Amino acid sequence: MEADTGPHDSGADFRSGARACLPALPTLFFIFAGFGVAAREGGVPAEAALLMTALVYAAPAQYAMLDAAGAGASALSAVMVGVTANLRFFVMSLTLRGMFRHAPRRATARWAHFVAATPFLLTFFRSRREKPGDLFAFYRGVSVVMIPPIFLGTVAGWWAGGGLPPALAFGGTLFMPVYFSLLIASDFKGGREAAAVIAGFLLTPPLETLAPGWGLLGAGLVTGGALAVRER
Amino acid sequence: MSGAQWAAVAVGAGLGTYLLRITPFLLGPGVEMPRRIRDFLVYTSLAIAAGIVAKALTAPGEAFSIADTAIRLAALGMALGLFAWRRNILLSLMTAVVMAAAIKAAIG
Repeated sequence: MEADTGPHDSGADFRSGARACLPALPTLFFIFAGFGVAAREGGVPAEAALLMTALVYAAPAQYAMLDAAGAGASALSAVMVGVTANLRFFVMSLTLRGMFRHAPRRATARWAHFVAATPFLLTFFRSRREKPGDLFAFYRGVSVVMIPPIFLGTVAGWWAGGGLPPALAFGGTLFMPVYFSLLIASDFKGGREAAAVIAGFLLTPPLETLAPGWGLLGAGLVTGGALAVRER
Repeated sequence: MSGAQWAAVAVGAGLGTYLLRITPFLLGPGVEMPRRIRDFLVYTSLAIAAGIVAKALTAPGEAFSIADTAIRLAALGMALGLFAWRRNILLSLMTAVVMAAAIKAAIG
């Protein structure tokens, strides 16, 4: 998790991040296309749906806000639902901060908006290499490549209104989880890290069912806390 | 809600989320994280990574379906098996996705 302080080519690290993100792009497109469809069905104008994607930049929270509004929540309640669904970003930023220690604070503040699951995980796994290079450049490469499919997906979903072939949409949802699983497998170190992976995998679905929007963060914090305490 | 209210929701949630995202980066550069905190973040990150996978495999923004979850788990198993054999991420990924889409198209 430490940033590499040795000489490195930031341009090459930026391009490396962009390349690493390519397999995740179809899933991002389909996830945000799904949001576009749901937004249209929920009576959200196209411009407002795009604004949500641009400013919130997190499909799960955007879905949660649509659900809340559909259930009759006020605008303020919908905002609260969206923000609490995004609490995991605090932990992600805290982790990334340790990797970007040598990056200018103003620059990290500008790019903080793009902290999300995909750039976080790809940068996290990159940081575990023997020579991770400039992780901030890598993160920016990942983040830039993600932007077009996210906005195109939102627009396409809103306009198509659910007209995608079901098998294609189904296959599209698998790119990201399978890709992340392969990254975990390629970086597998066993021991307590294996326990963290297994616990996160098993705990998250039931906790999400019990407390929608909190399960992922809850499973992560409980697992991380328990294993860090045992580390002593 | 009207279009203007939805825009206000987007701005409010966007601002709140940005505060969550930016706050850790505003900590001073001299603030070092103790070893135990770093361990905690590594384990938490791995658990969140696995949790994202589990969420996406069980019900990615839709109602839970045993049949769909079984197809997704089978695709994941195939990808991991193929990766263990060939150590090729792209081949494993594409094979799993195509297989899942084909099964879904076949059974509807």
